[in-house]
Amino acid sequence: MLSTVPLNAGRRRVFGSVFSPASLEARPPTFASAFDHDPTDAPSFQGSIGSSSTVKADSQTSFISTHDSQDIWNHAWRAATAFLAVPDRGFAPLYKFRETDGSEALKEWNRLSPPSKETAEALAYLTASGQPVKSPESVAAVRALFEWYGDEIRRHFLVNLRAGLYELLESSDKEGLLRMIVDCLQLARRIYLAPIVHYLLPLLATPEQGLVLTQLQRGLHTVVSYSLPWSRISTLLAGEITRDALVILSIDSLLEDSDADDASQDEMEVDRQYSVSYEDWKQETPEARAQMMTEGEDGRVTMARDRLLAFLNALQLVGLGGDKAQKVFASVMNVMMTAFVRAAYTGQWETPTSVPQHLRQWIENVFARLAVQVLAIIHTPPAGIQASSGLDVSFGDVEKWQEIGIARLGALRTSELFDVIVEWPASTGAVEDLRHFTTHPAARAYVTQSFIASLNQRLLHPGASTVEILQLYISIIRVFHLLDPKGVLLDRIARPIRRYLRDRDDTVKVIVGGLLAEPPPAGAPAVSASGDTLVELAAELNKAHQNSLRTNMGELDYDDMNWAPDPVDAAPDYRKSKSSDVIDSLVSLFDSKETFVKEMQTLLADRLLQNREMYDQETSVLELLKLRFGDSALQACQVMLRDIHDSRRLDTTVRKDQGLSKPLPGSRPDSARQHPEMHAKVLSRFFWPEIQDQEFKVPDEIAALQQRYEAGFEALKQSRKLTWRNGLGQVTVELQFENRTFVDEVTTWQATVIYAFHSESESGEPVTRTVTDLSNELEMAVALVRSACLSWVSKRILTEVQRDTFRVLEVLPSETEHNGLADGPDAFGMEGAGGAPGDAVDAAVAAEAAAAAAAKESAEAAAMEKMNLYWQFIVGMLTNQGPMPLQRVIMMLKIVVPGGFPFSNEELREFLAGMVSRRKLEIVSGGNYKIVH
Amino acid sequence: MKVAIKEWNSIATWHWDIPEDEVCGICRVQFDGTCPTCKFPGDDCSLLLGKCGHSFHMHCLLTWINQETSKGLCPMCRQSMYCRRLMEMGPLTISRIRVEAER
Repeated sequence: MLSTVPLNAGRRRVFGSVFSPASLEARPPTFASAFDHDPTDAPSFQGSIGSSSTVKADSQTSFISTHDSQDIWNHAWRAATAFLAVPDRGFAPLYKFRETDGSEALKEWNRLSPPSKETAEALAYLTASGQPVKSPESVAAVRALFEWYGDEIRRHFLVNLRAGLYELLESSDKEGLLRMIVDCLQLARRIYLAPIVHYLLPLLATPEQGLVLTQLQRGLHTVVSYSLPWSRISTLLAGEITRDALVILSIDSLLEDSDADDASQDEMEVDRQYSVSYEDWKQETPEARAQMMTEGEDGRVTMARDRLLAFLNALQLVGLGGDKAQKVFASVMNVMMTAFVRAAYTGQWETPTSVPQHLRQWIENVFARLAVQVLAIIHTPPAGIQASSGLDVSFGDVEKWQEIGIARLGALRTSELFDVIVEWPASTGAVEDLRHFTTHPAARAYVTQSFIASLNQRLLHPGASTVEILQLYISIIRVFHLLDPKGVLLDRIARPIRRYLRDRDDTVKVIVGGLLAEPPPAGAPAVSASGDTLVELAAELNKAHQNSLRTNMGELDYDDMNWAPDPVDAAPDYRKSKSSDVIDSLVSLFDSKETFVKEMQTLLADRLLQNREMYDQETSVLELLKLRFGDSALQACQVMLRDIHDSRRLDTTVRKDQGLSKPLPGSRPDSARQHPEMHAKVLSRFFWPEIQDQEFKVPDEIAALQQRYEAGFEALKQSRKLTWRNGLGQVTVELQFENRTFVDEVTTWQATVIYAFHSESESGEPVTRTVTDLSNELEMAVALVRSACLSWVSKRILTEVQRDTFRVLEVLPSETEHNGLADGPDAFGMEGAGGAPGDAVDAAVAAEAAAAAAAKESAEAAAMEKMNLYWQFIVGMLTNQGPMPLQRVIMMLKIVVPGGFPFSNEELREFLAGMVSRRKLEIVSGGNYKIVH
Repeated sequence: MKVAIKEWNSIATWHWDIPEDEVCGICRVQFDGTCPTCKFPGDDCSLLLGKCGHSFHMHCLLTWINQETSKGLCPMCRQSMYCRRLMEMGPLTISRIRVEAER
């Protein structure tokens, strides 16, 4: 039998020293070998016979009368042991009977048949029952008998059952395997103990009964727990407990609920009384809440509970309970707690939150209840004098569990934190939950670390737009301010974000754009993800104004009664700041205000040069920013604003003085042609950002007006001159065709170009001009002319008949026969070829396509235009230093170009590729660019 | 097609009617900028052309002239400072009267 057990020699020796190998053989039922009692010296034994009880006395007398004392002993011993010996029937029958109530099995093993008269006498003799005073010899005899029986049990178990159970245990991991094993073991236990309980114990005195039984059981437990591999059993046991605990703790129903939340709404209404669901709980009154978890358990839970407890009871009885089972149970409950927190509270972020209360209540009423019940069963057998069945679970333990539960909740919330912040402010509840958790430094460190990890993974990568990052950063600032008003956590979280934001090129642009954006109307919720601007900042600026008025003395305020030292986990260079101040945080991203102000200037310039009536928004934003940055930093911006205001006054005066509202006296008295209205904005050139200016000739009409305007200005402002910036400004043009008119506001150069297409004659060939032609006439850059023409094409005013040749689209093609107007190579050609006449939809599509193409081309043209500036640098570089790769070109440009090279690697690569295709460059070995001579 | 320009909003920059790229001899700021004490250029910070041909921000020169050590001389050429032209007529102040009295 032992050969099936993988015991190495050493272990076998150890085993052998405790359980002698001989014990596996049926012990010879001799008395002396087990018991060094002098058999001859038994006068008291004999004497005692006389005073035995009446029923037994006769039999004993007859039994004794035929033998002398030694023989009597031996005989009685033999009879008793023969009766008690367990028949070796192997494991199979036991396995067969495992699910019956056991009576048949007991019969099978011959355990229920009452002892024959002789045997009964022998038992009585050996246990010396009936004697009022026990002699030491008889006590020893009883002990010997039970010791023998203990050995017998062990022998029988090892010989018959162990291998079978072992095999069973190693067999497939099917459901209820452990239950089967426990059933078998329980049956075995009954087989072993039945005769003792039925026939032997009644012969003993009551106090002895318990002792003997415990001893036998302990022997059995030892053998069982020794011979079965615990690692295997513990896995099975964990599985068993998990299965039932999931039901008892109602975690499975929570999981189902979340799976089919809406589908089974009706069914769920039926048994609502008992539920651990947080959502249901929240809807109840406080009184009902307490009852919800304690009363009205539904049948399934009760069944599972009964099943588990019964099973554990059996487990305890067969000796697989105790310490080790407790450990398994503890680890299962540990998992359960996490599972429950996860199942019940994931995504429950509403405010006000009562998740911690709910969790505490659940732990107290459901979790602890199960724990108490289970621990009452699988307690360690009392090792000494222990207060019987004292509650193993104290209230201190329950409190500790609640703390653990809260920590689990914190862990859950921490893992959800990123989504919580995305959902902010709809998720305030989750942050409140987290506050319960972040009470000690370790938890706080955990929160920050895991959050930074998820930030790096989900936010701080090229896939996220700067607006998104900033948006989230604002939310983070608010969330962490709520979480930790001291701002230490925020200080740590913010570092990687800030570092990352500093690396982004467009951060400043986005921030400034957000500041200048129209604040959302009061009352309407600030829609966070509204496009590309950070509208929230504008609102924040207005709001933060009030806060900034409060003087913040910080650490120097010695009268501050609420002063507290910085938290222990604050970083060394942590500064207490008004960290809730979003704008301050964003602006302080950059070391100096310079970058910020410069960007502010550029953006402000763009907005101020637009043709608008009011600049209130800009004015108020500037006032608010002045409070932050001080007057001097924003001086230039102020001058800009004032320029615009002054210009308006000036404009009115000049126009009045020069009579610009009236038609020119010298101009053609053509009433059809209205006199253009001339307005101007006069800027102080040193206070505006670099104005990129395209030089070109404005229409004569306008040039004349500009001269008069200039004269008016000089009359008003002594010894000052005006320089016109013709590239900037807006023009409203009215285009009259045969059958339609078109009015739009365009840029000055677009207006100038279209003006060149002007023709007086009512009817006649549509004007056709080439780009070079126009460029020469208007003294305008070719790219700019082309860009303007294309934009007119997109407005369906011009059409490109050939490359760089444009013709006025006098009649819209969709309304006429295709009279050859639209047979250009461009998108209109497609329309002309494929579209049915009068198909307006087709025309619209074609126009859109043309517009897109034109927009793209004009954007490209504009980019190329800018890039051309650097072409000379590149040519010089490649000429002087020989061929070099893209990286080197970029590096050199970054060093050489004043104010930095504004294009990315990709853009330069494309530009250079364009140059390669134009045969100005070539790519030689190793990706080096070389000038073609 | 007839093209009619309804409205033309142009942008212009102003500059003082003196040679470009010159700076005030006292504060070394371009004339189109402001003197150190002023915030807004143009009307608020006019220029002053001396007879000797040197120009300054008016405020800069007034500060100089008001010092006893200046003795009413041009800080550049040490000739007597006579104002040839005041670029902009601002409010009359005592010191301006003094400059004008010296004229």
